[in-house]
Amino acid sequence: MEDQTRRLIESLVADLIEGQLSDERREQLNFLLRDSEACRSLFNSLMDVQADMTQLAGHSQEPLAAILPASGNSGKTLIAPNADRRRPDLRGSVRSRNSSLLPWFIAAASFAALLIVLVVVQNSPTSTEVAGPAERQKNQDIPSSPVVSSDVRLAQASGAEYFNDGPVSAGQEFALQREYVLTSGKIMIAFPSGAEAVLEGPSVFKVMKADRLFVTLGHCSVHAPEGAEGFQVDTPKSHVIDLGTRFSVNVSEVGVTDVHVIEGAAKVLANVSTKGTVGQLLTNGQARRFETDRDEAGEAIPFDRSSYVGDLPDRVLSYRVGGDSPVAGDLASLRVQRDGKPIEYRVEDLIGIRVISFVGVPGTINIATLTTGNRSVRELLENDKSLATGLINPGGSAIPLNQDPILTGDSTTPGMGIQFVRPVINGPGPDLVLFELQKNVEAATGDGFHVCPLKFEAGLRSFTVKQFDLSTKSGDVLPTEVFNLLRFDTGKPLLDSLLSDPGQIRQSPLAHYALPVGIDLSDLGDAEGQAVDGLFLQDDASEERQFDPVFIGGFPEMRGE
Amino acid sequence: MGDTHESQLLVRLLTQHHQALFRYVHALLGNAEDANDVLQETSVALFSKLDQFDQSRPFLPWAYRFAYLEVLKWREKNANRPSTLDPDVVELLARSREVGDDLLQRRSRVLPDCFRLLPEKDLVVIRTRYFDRSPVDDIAVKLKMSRRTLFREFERIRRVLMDCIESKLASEEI
Repeated sequence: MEDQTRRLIESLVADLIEGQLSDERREQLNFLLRDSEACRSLFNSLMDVQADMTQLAGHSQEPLAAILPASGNSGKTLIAPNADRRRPDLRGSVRSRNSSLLPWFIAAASFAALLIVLVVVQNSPTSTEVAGPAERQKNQDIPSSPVVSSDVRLAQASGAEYFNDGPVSAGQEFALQREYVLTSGKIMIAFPSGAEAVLEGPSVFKVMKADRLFVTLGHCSVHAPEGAEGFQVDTPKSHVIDLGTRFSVNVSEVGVTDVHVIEGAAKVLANVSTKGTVGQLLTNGQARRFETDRDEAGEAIPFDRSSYVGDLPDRVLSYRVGGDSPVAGDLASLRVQRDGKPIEYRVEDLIGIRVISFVGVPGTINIATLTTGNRSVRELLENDKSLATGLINPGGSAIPLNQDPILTGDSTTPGMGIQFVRPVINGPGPDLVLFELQKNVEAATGDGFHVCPLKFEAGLRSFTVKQFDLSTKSGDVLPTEVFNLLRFDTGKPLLDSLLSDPGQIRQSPLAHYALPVGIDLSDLGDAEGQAVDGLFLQDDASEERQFDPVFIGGFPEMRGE
Repeated sequence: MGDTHESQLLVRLLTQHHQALFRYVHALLGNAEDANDVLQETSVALFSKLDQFDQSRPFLPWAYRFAYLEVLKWREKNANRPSTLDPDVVELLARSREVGDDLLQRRSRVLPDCFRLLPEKDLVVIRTRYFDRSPVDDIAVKLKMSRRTLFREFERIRRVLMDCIESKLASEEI
């Protein structure tokens, strides 16, 4: 099942369990359950977890007071604790490639159908009767064309995928009045006036003008700084006009519009306004729901500051390679968002690694390398800046480790142990970057892997990365230069044999891309400021494909920020 | 009915399969309280029809049929209450459960192992809500979070448990 659909069902079931399911979401749940056996199976599994969880509740013996303030450092390791990730929306569900394509197709088709149905509903005759602005009428008459360029551009994207095409690289322009369906991830749109809008998938939207956005479905957060007053978000029911502010707009499947004003003020007008109406003024800390296109007053709802999303998650934003080559050779620099701020690191600033153990998957290729020349394989793997060389296909496990990996001898743990040439200090956001090689015929978001400490001291745990920060579809990744692959027929591939054996040289006929992901040491339970000497990496064997690390570098300590 | 031997048999079967029946009804109704009520009615129905039970066949598929009928009766009786799932969806879900019962039971068998791996703070929140039955608002105040955030915490815990179950089942298959 597609991650998107899975997350939607998880969220609907959560609302059902908590008695919070709105009528619109009830319809959505019925739609999905009616449509697909995969959805029904997931629903039944989730409901069973809830039913059993309530029965097992007596197993915990500590009173609530004992965990306040909660440190979270219980010393226990959670299996696949991806939901604790700083971006649960991107990584919060299992992406299994063991499942057949059919359920995936059904789920994907369901979601697409749902979106299409929603769009049709919004474009129904009832909507066209309203006396909205001329742009709105035009919007409905011309569903996806003409494609007119705007000066409205993508500022950032995180895990963004569209049902149709859409901008994925920073700086790309949105076409005016073209409908975009963002199925997952988040995007930040920059308007010429300085206004910024963050949209979260699933969302359906159009850029109507240089200062106007039409949101048919989904969640949008707007920051309109001084000079951008008058920026407008239109929805099927309302027009939300900025008066110098930060606000969020959530549009349900039937167009019901919730507006939360975080800062400043905004004016909300019904789509069908009474002549002379001044609209509903909302100020800092107020929230209202507008149910119909004639709803001028709206209904007060609880204000939720968290409804506003100002930043995209901390992550690797982009990377550059040396020279003018259109392929990824040597890494030159990296842009990373840490603590909400973009930081550029030159490759020379990064903290290098030394491989201290390696057990690969038997029968696989274990080294990707360029021509070795006079340099040793170890030198090529550890000290070079190339995004096409590395010890690939390390061994793994479906379940992450919860005890120290064994680094030497016959019982060496499958996977790869690395030591940083100097300790990496845990700071805000990601603390190191890992690149992997990925074919464009494989999962666009990369292959999952587990990362854990070399020593499980109190409070430390494994963490499973399910998705890379940039995907093969993101537009910001580069194909790698052609490299050799070395296969070893030595049974269980160990580090020593790989470094001394010549191996059999193969070349992959397929294009590979270098995908980066930032790893936050806090996800492993390390405290802020903690120095980390090394890590252990394992393939997530619950997925069919093995991951192929080719470059790992720690970030320098953040000082005085 | 009323034969002591048969009564004992029913008690034994219901004890053995209580949780499976609870899960079945819970999924079709969407909440635990209503599920408990319907489970009681199902027990009564099973008791009255136990003489029709063929002991050479598995108990659960037979019991599910009664549970399903009791779910329908409950829905009819409570027609004025807003129901979550449409009737055709309830039927589809019931069919899906019956076909996929083996897998659902395997998942349920590995859940306790996953439950034990939860961090203490998660276990305590679960216990406080479902064992001590503390009101949601009280828990939210103590944890200094909104109700919505608390509900998201439970959603996260369920997701972690689901991931764990899937990992364990996958490792069993390797």
